[in-house]
Order: sequence, then C-alpha cells, then structure tokens
Amino acid sequence: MTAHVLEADRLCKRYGTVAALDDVSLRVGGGRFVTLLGPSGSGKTTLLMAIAGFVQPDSGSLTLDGAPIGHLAPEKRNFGMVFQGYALFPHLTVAENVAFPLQIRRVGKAETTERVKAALDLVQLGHLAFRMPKQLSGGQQQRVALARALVFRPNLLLLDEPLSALDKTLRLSMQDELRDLHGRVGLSFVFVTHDQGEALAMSDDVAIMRGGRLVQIGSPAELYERPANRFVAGFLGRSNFWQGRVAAQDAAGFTYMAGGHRLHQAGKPPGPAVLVSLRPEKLMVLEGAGGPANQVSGTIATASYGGDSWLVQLDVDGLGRMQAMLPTWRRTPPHMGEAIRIGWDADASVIIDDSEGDTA
Amino acid sequence: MNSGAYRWFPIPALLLLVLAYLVPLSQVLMISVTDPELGLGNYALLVTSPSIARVLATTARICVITATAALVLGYVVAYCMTQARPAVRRLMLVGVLLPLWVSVLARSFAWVTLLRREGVVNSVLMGAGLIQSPLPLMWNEFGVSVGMIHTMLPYAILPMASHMRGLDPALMAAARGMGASRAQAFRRVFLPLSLPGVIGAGVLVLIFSLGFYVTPVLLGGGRVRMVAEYISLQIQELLQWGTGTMLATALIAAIGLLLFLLSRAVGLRALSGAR
Ligand SMILES: Nc1ncnc2c1ncn2[C@@H]1O[C@H](COP(=O)(O)OP(=O)(O)O)[C@@H](O)[C@H]1O
Ligand SMILES: [Mg+2]
Repeated sequence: MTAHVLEADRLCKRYGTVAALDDVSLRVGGGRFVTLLGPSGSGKTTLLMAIAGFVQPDSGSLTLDGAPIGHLAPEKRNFGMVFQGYALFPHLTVAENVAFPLQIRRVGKAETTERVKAALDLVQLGHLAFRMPKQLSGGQQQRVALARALVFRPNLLLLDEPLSALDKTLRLSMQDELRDLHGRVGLSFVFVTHDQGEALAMSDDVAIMRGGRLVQIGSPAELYERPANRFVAGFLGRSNFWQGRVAAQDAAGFTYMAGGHRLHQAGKPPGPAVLVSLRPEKLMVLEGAGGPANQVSGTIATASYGGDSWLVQLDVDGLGRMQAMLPTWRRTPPHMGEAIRIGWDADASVIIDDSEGDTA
Repeated sequence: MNSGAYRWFPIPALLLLVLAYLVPLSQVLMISVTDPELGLGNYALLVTSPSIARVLATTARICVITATAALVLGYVVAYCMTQARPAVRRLMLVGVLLPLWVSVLARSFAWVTLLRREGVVNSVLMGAGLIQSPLPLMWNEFGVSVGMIHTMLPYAILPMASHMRGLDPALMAAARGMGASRAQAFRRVFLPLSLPGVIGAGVLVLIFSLGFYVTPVLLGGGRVRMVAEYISLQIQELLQWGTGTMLATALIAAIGLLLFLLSRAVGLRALSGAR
C-alpha cells in the first residue's frame, strides 16, 4: 500500500480579528509521522480540523493525491481521527465503538467482527472488547480510540493532542507504542502536540506553528540544530542569543565582534549584522591551555542540579547572562561567584533570523 | 460542643413539614379507610365504579397525549437550543421561561379566547373561508390537551436541554469523522445519549399533568373530567370524603411510583456518560 499524499496550500482562516490560520502550506505523505507543534492558540487544532473538514478555511486549497477535497463533508474524506478527549461513545461497548465506522459503511457482519478483532488486537485490547469505555483506564481508552480510527483503513490518521491527558510515565510508553503502531500500519500520521520533547522524540517531520503561521518545518534534528529564527530556537529547548557585527570573512567562515569579543563562526554571514544562537550543551568549560576557537570568561550566578547535568547561569562580560549545561560527572559542583572560562567551536553556534516568526 | 448547636437548625423546617404535610396527609389516608366505614371499601371503587374508571381513563389518556406532545415538541426546541450560538440560546431560554411567570389561570383563559366557538382561531379560519362552521376546539379533550401541552412545554424543554448540553459535542464530530452523515450521527449517537433526559422530562411532565386542575376545568367546561377536578367535586359538592381521599391517596401513590422511575432514569443518565 502506498500512503496517500495530502497537500494544504495557503490555507487562511480568521475568527473575527484573530488569524487562526495565516497562509499555511503543508505536505503530508509517504507514510510519514508529521507533528504540528506550537504553543496553545497557535492554530494547530484549527489546521487539523480544516484537514478533517470540520473547519471551512476562508481561502486556500486542500488536495488528496492531487484531487481537491476542500468541498467534501468530513464524512466523505475518509480520515481517521483521534480527539483530545478520545470521544468514545459512552453508550457502546469497546467492540461496538470500533465497529461503528464499519457499520456506517455497511460492511457485512462476519467481516465486521473479524476486522474489529484485528483492530483491537493491533492495540492489544482484544480481551476488553465487551467493556464499556467508562470502565477503562485513560491509556486503554486511548487505544480504543486508535483502533476505532484505524479499523476503516483511512487515508490518513489525524491525532489532536492524544497523549496530553495521560500522566507522564504512561505518556512516555504511549509515545513508543504510537511510533511502533505508525511503523506497522503504513499510514501518514498528522499529530498535534504542544510538548517539544514529544514532538522531537516521535516525528519524522515537525511543523512549528505560531500565531496561525507555519514558522518552520523539518526533521527534529534540523529544527534543533538549524532553527530558522529566534522563536524556534527558544521554543525547542534552551538557547543563548547575542548580536554581532561582521568584521572579516574567509573561506572557512567569518569573524564578528560581539560585546568586545572577537568571535569566529563557520558558514557565510547573511549580512553585516548577525544574530547568533548557541545551545547550552555546546558550551565547554575550559581547563588549561588550548581548546575551541571561541573563549570567554564568566562568573557563575546560579546552578541547578538536573541529574545528568548542571544547568548553570553565567554572567559573561559583554555577552550578558548565558546558560550552560555542565556534565555532573566531570566536575566538583559549581558554586555561586566562581569564575570559569568557557568556549565553543566555530560550528557549534548558528546564525539565525532575528524574528519571532509570526510576521510576514 | 459548639458545632452541636447546628444540629438543631433544621428543626423548625422539619416541624413545618410535619405539620403542613405529614399530618394532613396521614389524615387523608385515615379518612380514606374509615369513611363511611372501616375497611378498603373505598379502594374497591377503583375497579368497580364505572364513573371513576371513566375519570381515570380520561386522565391517563390526556396525560399520555400531553407528555408525548410536550416531549416531541420540546425535544426539537431543546435540540435547537443546544446547537444555537450562546446569544441565541439565552434568548431562547428567556422565551421558554417567560410563560412560567404568567399564572396558569391567565394562560388557560388566554386559550379560551383563542379556542372558543367565536374565538380567534375559529373567526380567522371562517374569515379565510377555510371552514363553514366553527370547529369544536374546546370543551373537549383536544382543548384540554392544547392548554396542558402549552403549560408543560417548559418542564419538558428545560431538563432535556440541560441533559443535551452535558453531552460532549466531540462525540458527534467523531461520528462524522468516521463516515456518518449528520442524520446518521444524530440517530446513532445523539438520540440514544439524549434518551435519559427525555425519560426524566417525561416523568416530570406526567407527574405535573396528573394533578392538573385549572386547565381541565376551564377548557374542559365540565365535559372533560380529570382526577383532580373529580376529587374536588367529591369532597366539596358531594361531601363524599371517603371517595375523594381515596382518589387523592391513589394519585399520590401513582406519583410516588413515577418518582421512583425518575430516580432510575437519573441513574441511567449517569451511566450514559453525560458530563
Ligand atoms: N470556533 C472558534 N471561534 C473563535 N475563535 C477560535 C475558534 N477556534 C479557534 N479560535 C481561535 O483561533 C486561534 C487558534 O486556535 P486553535 O487552533 O484551537 O489553537 P491550538 O490548537 O494551537 O491551541 C486561537 O486564538 C483561538 O482562540
Ligand atoms: Mg488545540
């Protein structure tokens, strides 16, 4: 089975003065796991509901395998959907819930029984077929919702924050299960979350949304290593930022001045002024001579213990407050007021666009 | 102990309840088994007296018609209310509640002016040439039912609407997403889930209808006798205290039974997943 390709082209949707979707284009296909990630109110649900057919976009088009589907009612689109609260029918048993889409499609009795059983086995719930949804735990309800969304062999599976109601341990194990399920069913998934860790851990592609706009789309590593702008860099994990003015350029990279320091950066400068972003875990504590291309001194302001590492806030002359992750295994505990030298390689930091990504 | 004092606070209310309800009620029960002589003779009338049988049959028929019509009409209104935008919903709620501030007497008289021989309905229909002679719209079961349905509608709408609002709208969306048309989603998801609200409203309307007095008297014109009017007739006109109190006791028993069913329906509501 080849997975279907869904294309959203320049979707816009306004609610009064709020632009819930602002010129959003997205391509989902090839059986990929695509995650919509963004803070609350960024338009994730609206985009998912527009794809599902519950929200009518003001403009833009939706196609499935090249054929327009924007005019189709939700029931004609054949997309599986898992809602945030699961939306299991409380008056039907687990098996009846899963059978629902098949009965609507007038699938025969014997085949229905067989496919319901297969779908429940897929999510390891075969033994609970005759329970009522109320009698199941959150994780089990979640799996019934998945079975029900997959049993009718949809073109695409849409999931709106399906894990956010679960406690942390269960959420982590459901992440693995969902990934595993995705691998087995060969469908493209569009998954919505506001949890960065979840998005990075589960997805083939992450689309970052903010204020109704799609800010950046790419693999988790691309987004983390090469954030397009300040918003993405700050939203996906922690980052240090500073401004610089380009001083000189050569084949390997360029030199820029920032806060009185002469610093080196790999790559080409986008203009005379640059915004630099550096992940805290890429900062090294320097002891002795030698080391990376960029070196500065600072004073430790605070340090918080995180098990595998210390998160340290430093005050660096000219660059201001910076954050660094120091591995706990290599050092005596950092203490307030301690003077340290830190450094980073020319290709550890990245040049990003100085915008929040929410304006054109 | 300080908190011990609170224990006595309900006492005045309890006393009032005992004096105003339990004492008279037990007297009603007493009279029904002692007047004119000790025994269950009055209760035998329930099965032996043709006139009582006729009154009970009329009462049951009108109550069932009223409840059915109020539920069907009320369901549509309640459904529209739950689907409407909040501003429209508030407006509809006011519309539903407004009649409750007008006394039953005034509303029944309003229906008299509409339904009598020379009333508004007949004169409009005759003026339009649709009918030659006035339709018998009141002083019959039709007129009584119309008046009662009108009075009962808010009591049918409000419990159903409140139950429907408790249903998760995502359930309907989920059904649509799985391929169900609007009508299929309504029939297979919304309707079954709204049934406990319908049952609750139905029992409520039946209970209120059983004791109706003013509307049957005014719109029935003495030709449609329901049980409340019959009881008052027995006691006030014919001084048949035994028969009257027996019927009153039977009425209370019937209402008790319906209330028991209502409590079952409420249990059902909890089962059906209303929030
Ligand atoms: N039905 C609606 N009516 C009015 N505003 C809405 C509606 N749905 C969404 N919005 C607004 O659109 C924006 C995006 O909402 P949503 O897509 O639900 O965000 P997310 O799912 O990312 O939290 C929000 O500002 C929200 O208030
Ligand atoms: Mg949302």
